[in-house]
Amino acid sequence: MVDQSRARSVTVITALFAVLLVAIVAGVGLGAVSVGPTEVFAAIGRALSGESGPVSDAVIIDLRLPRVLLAALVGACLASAGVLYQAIFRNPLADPYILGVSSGAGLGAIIAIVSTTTATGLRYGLVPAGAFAGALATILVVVRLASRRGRLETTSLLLAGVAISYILAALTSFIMVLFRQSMASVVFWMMGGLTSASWRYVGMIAPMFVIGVVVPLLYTRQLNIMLLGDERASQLGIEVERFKRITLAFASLLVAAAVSVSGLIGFIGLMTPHIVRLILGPDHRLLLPASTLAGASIMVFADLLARTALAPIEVPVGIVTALLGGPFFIWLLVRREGVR
Amino acid sequence: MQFRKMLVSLFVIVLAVLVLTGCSSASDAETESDLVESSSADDSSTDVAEALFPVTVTDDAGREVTVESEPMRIVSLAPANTEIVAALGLIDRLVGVTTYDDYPPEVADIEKIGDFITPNLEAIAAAEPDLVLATTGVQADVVTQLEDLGAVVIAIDPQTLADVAGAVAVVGQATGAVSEAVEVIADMNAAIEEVRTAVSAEEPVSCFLEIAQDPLFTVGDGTLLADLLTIAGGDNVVAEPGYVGYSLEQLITDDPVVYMATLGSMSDPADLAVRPGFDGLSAVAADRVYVLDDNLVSRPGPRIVEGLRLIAEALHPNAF
Amino acid sequence: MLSFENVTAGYGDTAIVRDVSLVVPPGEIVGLVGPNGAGKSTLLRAITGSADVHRGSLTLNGTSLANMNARDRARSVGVVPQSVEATFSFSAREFVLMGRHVRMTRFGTASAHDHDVVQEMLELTDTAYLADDPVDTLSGGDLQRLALAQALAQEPDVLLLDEATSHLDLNHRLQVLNLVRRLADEGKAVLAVFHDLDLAARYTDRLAVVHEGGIFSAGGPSDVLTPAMLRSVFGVRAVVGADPVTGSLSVTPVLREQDVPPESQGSVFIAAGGGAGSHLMGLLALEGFSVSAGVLNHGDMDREVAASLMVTRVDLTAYDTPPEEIRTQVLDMARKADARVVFAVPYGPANLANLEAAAAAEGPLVLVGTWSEELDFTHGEATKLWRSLQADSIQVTDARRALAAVRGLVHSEP
Repeated sequence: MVDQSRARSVTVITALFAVLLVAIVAGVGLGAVSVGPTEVFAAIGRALSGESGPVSDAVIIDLRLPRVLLAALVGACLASAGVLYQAIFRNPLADPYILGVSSGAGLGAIIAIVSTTTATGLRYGLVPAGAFAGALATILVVVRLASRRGRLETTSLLLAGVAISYILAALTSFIMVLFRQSMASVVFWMMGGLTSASWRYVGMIAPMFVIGVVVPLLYTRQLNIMLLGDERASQLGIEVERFKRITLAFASLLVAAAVSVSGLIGFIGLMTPHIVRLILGPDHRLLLPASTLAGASIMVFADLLARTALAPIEVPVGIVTALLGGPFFIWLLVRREGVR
Repeated sequence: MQFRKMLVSLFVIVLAVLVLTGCSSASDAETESDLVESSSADDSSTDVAEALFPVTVTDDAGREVTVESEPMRIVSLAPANTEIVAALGLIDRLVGVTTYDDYPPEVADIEKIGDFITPNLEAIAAAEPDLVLATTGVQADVVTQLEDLGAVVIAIDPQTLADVAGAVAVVGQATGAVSEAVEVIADMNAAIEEVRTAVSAEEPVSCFLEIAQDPLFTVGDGTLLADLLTIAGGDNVVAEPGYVGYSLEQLITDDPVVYMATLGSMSDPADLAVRPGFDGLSAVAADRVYVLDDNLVSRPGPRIVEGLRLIAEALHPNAF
Repeated sequence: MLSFENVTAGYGDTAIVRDVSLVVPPGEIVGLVGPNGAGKSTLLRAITGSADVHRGSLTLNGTSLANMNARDRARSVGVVPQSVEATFSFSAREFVLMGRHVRMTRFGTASAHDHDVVQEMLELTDTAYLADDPVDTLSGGDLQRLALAQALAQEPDVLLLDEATSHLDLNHRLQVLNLVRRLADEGKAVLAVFHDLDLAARYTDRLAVVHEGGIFSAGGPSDVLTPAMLRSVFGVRAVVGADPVTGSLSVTPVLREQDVPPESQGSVFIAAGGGAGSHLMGLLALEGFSVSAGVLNHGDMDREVAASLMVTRVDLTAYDTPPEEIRTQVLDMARKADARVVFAVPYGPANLANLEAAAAAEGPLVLVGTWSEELDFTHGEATKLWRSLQADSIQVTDARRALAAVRGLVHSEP
């Protein structure tokens, strides 16, 4: 019986890897300038060997490939963060932005944008740094607010998150009004997009993804037990308060990393784990890696859609995911009605 | 709050009524004077008759506006309009300008009545203008509101270089400064001719003009800037009309020879190379990246000809 | 061995239990009983770490529990809670496997041994047939047994049961408690909170009554479960008897102190014995009558009930004629009463006094039951007295009618 489930897990993970690979090849090949799969690999080959090729090579190697890889990383970060947040809150509808991280990142980004109106070259480094710092600072404040005698209660976290969210969003709007010339840039950033993808961003995010996902993968058993409630988990031997904080830290690192380079892309962190759990079950040993891979694939496809739907205009990816998210919730609602 | 708002509106209405009745009574006959429209070549300026008041003009919103008597208190809702008024020698009559206005330097002393996007109606009313020079588009609502208060509003929004001269003519008519208008237009046309001659020998060079970077926005046919590009000897790579969002992939495929950006979008030509993906552009490699002063290039006022020259110099440095 | 020494514990700064000392040795089932809010769960939580220990020492085999980390604690203490949260669709087997967490290495996977243990626990708790069902589809009772299996999978030395049979049906309640008994006999120390006093009496070796944050009394079930304790702690007038089949104590609550009307409705004298008067005594008490019963012998059911209901009486150990003072006392009781009720029960030298007193008191009375000479152990005296009473009395057949008659008599008093 045990072997059966292990074999099933291996099959599922392999299948998801395959899907991701297809998504990446499709993402790199399709766009304003379309290129077939063989060309894609040829271009990569040329880049590795140092040969020079046609103009399309530049598009593939310098634009598409980093962008698609960044999309995969961002999707993976958001989906795995979603899994972790849903475990901490014991709620399959928890979202990685639930603790006000999005507002904090937004504020950090807008400060970076308005302070570089006369030095726009600095923007590419400063905006991710600002968003990242804003995201992490927010989490720290929220956790601090919600801690009572060393205990971190779910309700307190949620309340603190909402409160901080509102305050930061108000500050962001206020700054936007004062610096109206930058409004378009800020709003565009907040809608979530991968237009400024680069190898540099990929290099920044990849290590954070690895840390943020690999460590929780070692703790999947504990994540399962946490679902029984704080008291029961403690009775079964989990150091609950410490575990919550550590998991929150990794989850927030993943969210901050994703948000810093791609703005506020919604729904991936919520939908992906939810759907994967419905299909594959709640066991985190399979749920976490499966969601990570699924999130990566979904984001690559969403970004492909964002780039090609209204070419040459690029629709912000956040809009595409929102268009997927709405019907998702309606489907959930309908499903519940049916069950009853 | 409601009560206070009502009081202020009442005050403004009373004021507007006083302003209107204060104007001298109009004569019955409305004399239509010829509109002086600039053509591409010589101007038959000497044929323009002296405008009498009242005068009716057609503004860029297609509205027929009648100015009863010579306006002595003018409010400008756009920097370009302010520059036109100043070029006509009427700067002393300006009683209200926007916070964006910066030329000529004397406008610093003039009362500010709000910014370009949201002019302050109360401030405008307090300035008691007998002529308001607005724009269309984002200010369309303001125009309606001002007219409801009884103000005389002319909307100015040139779409081509030729239209700019037309705007000068309309303002000249409305303010009674027709001869000054003729002079200004003549100077403008001369400057334009100079540029045209200089680049006529050159092949049009492929170019791209960035007006915003996040998201990347540029100009296509039908916009004033695109018109400037063509006249200055450029071949805009953008095929779509109007203000267009552009993808990086398309840009790299188009690979323009010259890359220009307005100052509001980019601070330094070196910034472009820093952006991921842009260092592959030929323009970057050949150091043909130029940052242009928006105030000269985007403002549909008399100084647009200086902007035209800047563009031409960027496109064809050897011709100057 | 689990030991509480002068422990004061609670939540945050609030103390719920104060100065509690209690010992749970291996091999024993110690029960905790008491009213709601008395602090029973707090004592359990002090062990698991969910409640804070403010003062005193709480140790397990000499090691302080307060300083133990969650992992070490879970290796020694298994908890079966009152209710289990199961909103995710793990299978029952996976659920029980979670109990093995503390016996596995931090990053390891479940070994064959772990799975064997899980299987064993499933069978022990009669949940093996559910093994592959998702826990969010199971009933409260199934979940409670699975929670026990999960706790047992931890292989703890101490078991804490917090009303662990509340959702179980009759069958499984027996099963679980029998299992726990066996586990205790095999060496585990068990501390269990009971709401059902009969179960507590039957399955515990020792009982501690928790009242207003302290231990009211502790000891063997028969020492602890007394009518006096039930009155003081639970505010209930109850009869404590021996269950005829199991021999263990059985508590029958009769009346809440709060329900006793403050003013007496009247007084009633009853001559009964052998359990015949118990029902009427209960009914009278419920209606607020003060009751006296003359002499009653130890071992007589009526005496037990009378004791619980605070019926005025004289308890006798001997069966011969009581001394003069006692007979006078009984006569006094009968005279003072507003109504008298005499049951047709065996009368001997001892309780003849009751019959004599009822007759001597004069005034209408109620006779319950049919007289037969087989009831007479007084050489005819009882029969003579009964017959003399028949004329002027209301004859009824059972306690309910007797009650109605008494009401009538009492209210018609001038």
